[in-house]
Amino acid sequence: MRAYRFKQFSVLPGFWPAFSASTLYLTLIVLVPLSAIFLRTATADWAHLWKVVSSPQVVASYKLSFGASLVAAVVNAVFGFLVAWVLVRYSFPGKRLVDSIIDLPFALPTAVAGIALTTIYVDGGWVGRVLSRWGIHVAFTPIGVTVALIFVGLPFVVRAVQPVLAETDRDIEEAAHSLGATRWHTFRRVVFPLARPAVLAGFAMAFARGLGEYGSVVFISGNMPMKTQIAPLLIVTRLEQYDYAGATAIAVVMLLASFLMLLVINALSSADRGKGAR
Amino acid sequence: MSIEARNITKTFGRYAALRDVSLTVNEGELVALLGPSGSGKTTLLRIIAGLETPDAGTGGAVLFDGRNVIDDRVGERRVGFVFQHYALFRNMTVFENIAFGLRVRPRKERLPEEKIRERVRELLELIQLESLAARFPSQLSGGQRQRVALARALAIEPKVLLLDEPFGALDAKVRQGLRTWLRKLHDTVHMTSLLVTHDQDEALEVADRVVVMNQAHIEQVGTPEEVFHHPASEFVMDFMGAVNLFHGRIESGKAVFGPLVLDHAGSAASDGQAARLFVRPYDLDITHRPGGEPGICARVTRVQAAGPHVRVELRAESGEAVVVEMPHAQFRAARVHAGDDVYVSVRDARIFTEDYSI
Repeated sequence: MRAYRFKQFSVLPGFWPAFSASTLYLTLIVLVPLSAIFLRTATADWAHLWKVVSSPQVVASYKLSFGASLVAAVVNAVFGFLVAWVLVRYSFPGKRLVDSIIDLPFALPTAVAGIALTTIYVDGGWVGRVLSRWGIHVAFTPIGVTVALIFVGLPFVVRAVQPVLAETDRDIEEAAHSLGATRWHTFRRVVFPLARPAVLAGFAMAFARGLGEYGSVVFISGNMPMKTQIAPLLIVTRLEQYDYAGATAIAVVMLLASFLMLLVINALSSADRGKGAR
Repeated sequence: MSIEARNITKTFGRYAALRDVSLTVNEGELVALLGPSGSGKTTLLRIIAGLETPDAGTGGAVLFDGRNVIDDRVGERRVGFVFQHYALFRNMTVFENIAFGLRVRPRKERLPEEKIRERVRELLELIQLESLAARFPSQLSGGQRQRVALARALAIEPKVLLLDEPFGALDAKVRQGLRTWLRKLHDTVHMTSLLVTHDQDEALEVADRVVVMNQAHIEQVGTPEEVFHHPASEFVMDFMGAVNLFHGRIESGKAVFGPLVLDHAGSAASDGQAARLFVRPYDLDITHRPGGEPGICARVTRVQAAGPHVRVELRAESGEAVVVEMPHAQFRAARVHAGDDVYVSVRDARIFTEDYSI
């Protein structure tokens, strides 16, 4: 068992001010608002809350929110890694431009993204027209929700992986090649394991972002009950009906579930990072 | 296995790293590629390994035992390559690092697990790190890491061993120890080896032959004794250790440097041509009175008696700084002190004249 010690001696002063300031900051910005949700839920009638949370419509929205976020995060983990790899390893004209485009989903108001995606992916849109010929409908289906979440989650993986790949020396790959490893072996056993903690961290952030995303999804999903309603939408709907307790109940379930998932992913990530850390 | 590099030319953009360089390393030999940074020595090593390719259309070839391997990829050439910064896989233990080359072989060539373990244990014994097999690279010292890197390279039973400044990132004492160890290792396994270094002591001490490189070409190839005692050019003379430089000219078959007149017969140099005299600090003598030998008048500026030799710094009448090194016994006999006016005579020197053939 690791013994936790409160203060690590350091010649540099400033542990207590820094520690107190960050604790205070976290309390004000994160803990107080979040505990308000719990308190609000606790004041309500439990039977009512359980009815809200276990209603088929809400359960379906949980499934969609977690399922679509998970798929989107997986897709982003794969392609985000690829994009980061290309940006780190190759130089090509317009590289800086591409590099700044990555951050656009951060900066763009999510409603704008939602409207743009919907316009492209509806059955008559640029992309939707082609896809609908194959019987694939994106807008107003769970696929559309996933596409929107992929869009908003992309920067997280790219920005998490990029610095790690950049600081991995070429000579490690060269060493693997000189020892007879194929490109695939080199990637699977040498390059990827080094980047894996960062990929996991990016995956976790993209996933969390997907769970909370509202603006871009509500346009492309069509918000059909039992089919394309995401959990945040149901929260807003409850609020509009002045059912604050019901809204917070849906929120508490999401909060607990996402907290658990992030905890597990971060634990995996740091266990991975701890192995052979410098 | 012998290595031959033939007519290698390599340019990076507009910068020429190698200009038509050819080199042969005989079976079982340990050859050092010696030169300052930017001389092309690492590029040549990487081309031999297959990590770089010579410029297209220049007809460069790399031959292992007479067979051209220029189109073989690095993994197919079966070379053991050791990198300056170790390039260990930091997500793997020492054991797994060494086993890597054995584990990535295609299934039908792969040794059974028990054989792999046996081989790794042998290599751990060779590098004297049996007890650290389960450690990660981050838990090792620099010298230990480089030994692991060497064992990892040897695990694939390479035909040649290529070392790129293997001790460059280590401190002086560890470097000295590993140098001796590497030479011993080479004497036991007798693998054809090529070592890149910018440290002339390392090259002279370890190698059977030394290849001195400068500005994308080879200046001289020879045994350590040859390149040290018979440098083929001013560059080699200068690179092999401290030298004193005097300027003079050729006059009727003799090289004249102020009061010093040295025989320079048998050379093609014509009268009036500029000449430069290179003298090692230990090839100079200091006397208080002009003796039989002609000497340069100089004033002692500083005496440094700590170390295996006494180092005397002087300023010649003509303004040049001169450094003389002598054994302590000789220093005591000469009774030299700072501020003394003395005569400096030359015991042995190399004369280089301007080469107009370039």
